[in-house]
Amino acid sequence: MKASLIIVGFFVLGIVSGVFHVLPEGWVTDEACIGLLLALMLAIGIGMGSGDRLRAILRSLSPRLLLFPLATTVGTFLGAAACALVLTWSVWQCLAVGAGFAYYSLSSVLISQAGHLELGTVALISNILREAIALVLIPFAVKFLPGHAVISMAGCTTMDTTFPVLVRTLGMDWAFVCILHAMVLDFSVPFWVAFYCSFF
Amino acid sequence: MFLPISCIFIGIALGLLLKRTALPKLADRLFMPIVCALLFAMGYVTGGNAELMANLPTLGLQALLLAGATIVGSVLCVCLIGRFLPSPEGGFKGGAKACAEARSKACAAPSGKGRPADCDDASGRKDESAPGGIR
Repeated sequence: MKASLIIVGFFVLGIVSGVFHVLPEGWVTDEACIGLLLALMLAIGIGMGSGDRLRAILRSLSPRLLLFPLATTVGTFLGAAACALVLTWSVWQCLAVGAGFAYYSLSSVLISQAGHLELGTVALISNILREAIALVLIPFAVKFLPGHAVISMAGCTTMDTTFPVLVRTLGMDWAFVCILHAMVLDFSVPFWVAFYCSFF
Repeated sequence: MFLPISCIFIGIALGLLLKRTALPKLADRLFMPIVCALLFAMGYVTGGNAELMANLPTLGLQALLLAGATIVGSVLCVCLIGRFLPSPEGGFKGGAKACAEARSKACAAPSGKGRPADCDDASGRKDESAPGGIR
């Protein structure tokens, strides 16, 4: 949670600095941002390759176990696509925002770098909101919804920020489901976002 | 988009090959500063764009709609196929052991993205500053 606040703090600080143009012209350039983005992707890749999570996912690959993150993915995409009916954004643009699954830092940066600063901002706010809404609703949702549905609300945050709330409300038995759900979604975020960005 | 995705694959290869070097730790340590710098830059460009700033309330509403719709969508879809999903009550068919193993390994790591938030440190306190919480 602290890390999330720091990240949001930097974004807000950036907005305030941008409004008052505190930095000399040419300091925040596209090239610098792309360089940073590539460094970020490299760091994420190194984390994926050197960690044990990749192997754990591959080992636990069974169609029935994968059905759960898959259902969250399909449902998220259907929900996001439905928004295109009322919003000015295209279906692909809505899908790119939804494909963040609450992974706001990566999805927003990728979309912004694809040339859509406005949509990147929407992605940032939307994915932060998904995490926040899930965090607030989980304790109430357990009374009405089955365990899987409660977990799916939180997208790929179910093994870190929303994990403590989930296991406290659902019980420790659900820890494994939360972790597998988040692991699979987490890995898929950069690929889905990049995939949808390629359509606009 | 081709370049960022290639960078991930290069990273995965580097991570696999240089697993036992200082590289994974360095990448982990650099993650947060890079994310902060990128979001600061994103905020800076957003703030400097008068039109975008004027639209910020609208963008916020759109974001709220998207967040709500994605949550409702996943809940509905999961409820729909709920009875096919393996649940702790019904007992898992395989995979649980592998995941429990991965979890204990993740907890054993000093830090790193994906470290479960409820891992107890040696001191017994819960580590909230672990980059696992970075989204």
